[in-house]
Order: sequence, then structure tokens, then C-alpha cells
Amino acid sequence: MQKGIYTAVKRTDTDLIESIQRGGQACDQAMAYLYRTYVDRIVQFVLSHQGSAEEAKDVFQDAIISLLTGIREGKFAGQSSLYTYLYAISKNLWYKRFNRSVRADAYRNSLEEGVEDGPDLYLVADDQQHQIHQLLGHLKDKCREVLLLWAQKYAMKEIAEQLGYRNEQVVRNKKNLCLKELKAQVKQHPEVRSLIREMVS
Amino acid sequence: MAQQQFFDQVEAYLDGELDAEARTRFEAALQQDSELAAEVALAEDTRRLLVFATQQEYKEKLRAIDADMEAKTTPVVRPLWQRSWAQAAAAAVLLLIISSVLLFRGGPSSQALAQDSFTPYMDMISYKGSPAIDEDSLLLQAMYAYNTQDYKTALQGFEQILQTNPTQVSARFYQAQSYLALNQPLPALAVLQKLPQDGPLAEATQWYMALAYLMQDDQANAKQLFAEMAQDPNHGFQLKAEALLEKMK
Repeated sequence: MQKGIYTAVKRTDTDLIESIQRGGQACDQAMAYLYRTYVDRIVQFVLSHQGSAEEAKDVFQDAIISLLTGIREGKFAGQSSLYTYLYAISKNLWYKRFNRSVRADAYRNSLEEGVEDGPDLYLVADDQQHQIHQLLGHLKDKCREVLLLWAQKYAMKEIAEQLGYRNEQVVRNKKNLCLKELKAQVKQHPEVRSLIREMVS
Repeated sequence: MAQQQFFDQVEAYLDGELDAEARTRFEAALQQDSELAAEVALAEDTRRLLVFATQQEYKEKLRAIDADMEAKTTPVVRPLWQRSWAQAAAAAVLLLIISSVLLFRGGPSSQALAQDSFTPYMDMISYKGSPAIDEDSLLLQAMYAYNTQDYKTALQGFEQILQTNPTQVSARFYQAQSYLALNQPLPALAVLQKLPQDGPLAEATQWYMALAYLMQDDQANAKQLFAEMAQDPNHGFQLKAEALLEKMK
């Protein structure tokens, strides 16, 4: 993780959304800014609704990831402020998790109602994550690194600089080869394909 | 247009890089060729896999940001000898008062309980505990450091292993052990949460997660986990969990 990402300078929602759409390091910095700026408020909400600080942070991390997806897929189009949207997703996520816990029965009636719907989210069991990571684990390190950066919308130039490749064309060729290799792995594991289709739209 | 050319255009089609005419031709071919349709479906599933993996990457980055924030907000206490004599005397008096209160109230702190209950999990990987002759056996080398209580070196080894093979469960499990041994429950917890919930290390993972929570004075989460273990007669850590819950009352 790059040091010095966080800055106290206030950023506008427009600026943050553009950074997220751009991907790469700009997106990482926007994500860091949102987390550092708003995590305390979400912690306060979850703590006041029978949760712990750790649960609150986990919920907020998932909310931010949901926001990134929402922006990239056009589900969030500036209909509210980023904070309002994140808060709504976080509340919804906490409500869903709380309902799965033993505390829900005693507390259900007092929880806030009318939470907004955020993008569809899911909790993935660790064994399912394990299955998926196994597939990626078959790739060599460099392939995995290139593909993950490409999937996070890092520009070819950024990937070349970060991984020490000569130029963008070398990265492009590497990406194409690695994608072909990953596709071959995916083809051999139909059970993971159906899992992935359920989880990612 | 040759059929192979359409197969070569699959990625460009999904990236939206085909011009209008080429896209129209491609989509017409897609309607008629089931093999081409299967290839597009495979490419889409592969991209979905990467999206999922990316979400996990983002999660890791956010956790790292949180750990960084935690580290920066932890107050640093200077040793007594660095303060003035007056401050040192005042601190000593305060300590005496607090100790008396705690003694009167009874009961160890969460951190003390966790430390007393923590024992690094025994080495199930290298049976002799000696340095590996084969230099490629990074795991054995890391376990040697672990067995000789050189946890910092062990952590470096586990980190190196996990960079090349992030699904190496043993490396991750003992990485968490090393963090706990160094009294770093926060990164230990982050690591333990990535471990599978089934398998031979599942019960131990649950036990050490509870200890990590206790080390952070998160009694609520610690108690919940200890209670789950104590209620399961088949759990390997049931008796330990019961004993610890008793002490936490």
C-alpha cells in the first residue's frame, strides 16, 4: 500500500467519482479518502445498533467496494451525496448481517426502517473464496499480478511502471497470454463458473 | 470472415473495442455459432472471476488502511526514565492507586488473560524442526524460525511464501501464530479471518481468533467465540474455552 495516500484536503464527490471511474491508483486514493473520512461515523452507527467496531469496519469496507462497483456499472449516478449513499449501503448491510445473528430477535423492532437499497451484495463463505483463489493460485505470480491490476482498471502504462515491464505493449501481450491461461483454468472448473455467476453480475 | 477471426475478437468485443460494423458482424456470428457463444461465455466468466478477486484486493487494501489508521492513533508511552522526576513520581503514585483498585476488584485484564492462555500452535509441518537442506523449501525455513521463536524472521518467510502462493493455508495459519506471539492481535486477526472455516485447522483458527479479540480487549467477540467452542462437546478447545470464560466472569 502506497504511503502518504491520505491527505487532509477535502475532495469533492465529482472528483472522487471521476477517480473511481479512472481506476488504478486514482481509484485507490479515492477509496482511501472515503474510508478515512467516514469510517468513524459508520462505527458509531453500528456500535449504537448492537455491533462492534470491527464489524462496523468490515461492513463499511464492503460498502465502499459496493460503491466502486455501483459507480463502474452506472448504478450510482450522483442521485445523492457519496456519503449518503455509503451510509445507506452500510446500514442495509448491517441490517442483513444482524438478522443472521442471534441478537436479531431481541433487537429487530428497534432497528431503523426504510433503509435504501444499495447494489446487491453477498457474503461469500470462506470455502467458496478458497475455491476461487485456488484457480488464481494456478497462475504464475506475474500473471496474477498483471491480471489483477488490469481488472482494477490500472492503465497499461501504470502496470508497466509498477511491475517493471519495458513498455505498455509488453504488458498488453502479457495480459493477453495470462488471460488465455486463466480461461483454460476456468474452463476446467465448471463448479467455480456457476459460483462466480451467482456472485458477480 | 474466417471463423477463427471471430474467436480472436472475443476479448475486443467484451472490451467494447470493435467498431460498429465489426460488432454487428460479430453479433451476427454469435447468434449462429454455439461454439463462439460458449467462448464468449467463458471469457465473461473469467472476467467475473477477476472482478471477484479484485473485490478481495480492495478489501485487503481497505484493511491495510484501517491497520495504518489504528497504528497512527495508538498513543506512544515513553518509558518512565525519560520523564522528569516529578512526572515519574506522579506516575508511580497513580500506578499504585490503579493497582490497588484492580487488586480490590480482582481479576486479570483481558490482555493478561489472553497472554496467559496463548501458546503458539505446535509445528505440524516440519517434523525435525531443523533448517531445510532444500533451499526451495521456504516453508520449512520459515517453520524453523518459528520453532526457534524468531517470529520476525518467520513472518518474513511466511510473507514471501504467501506472495507467490496466497492460498497456502499452513503459511497463513502460522503467520497468524507469529503475529500473536509478537503481541500483534490486529494483523493476526486479519490473517485468521482469511483461513478456511473447515478443515483440520478450523477449530484452532477459531480458538486463536478468540484470543486475538481478547488481546484487543474486544470481550464481546471473544466471549461469543469462546461460548461457541464451550458449547460444542466435540470441539478440540472446548475445555480451554470453558476455563477462559470462567475467568472472564
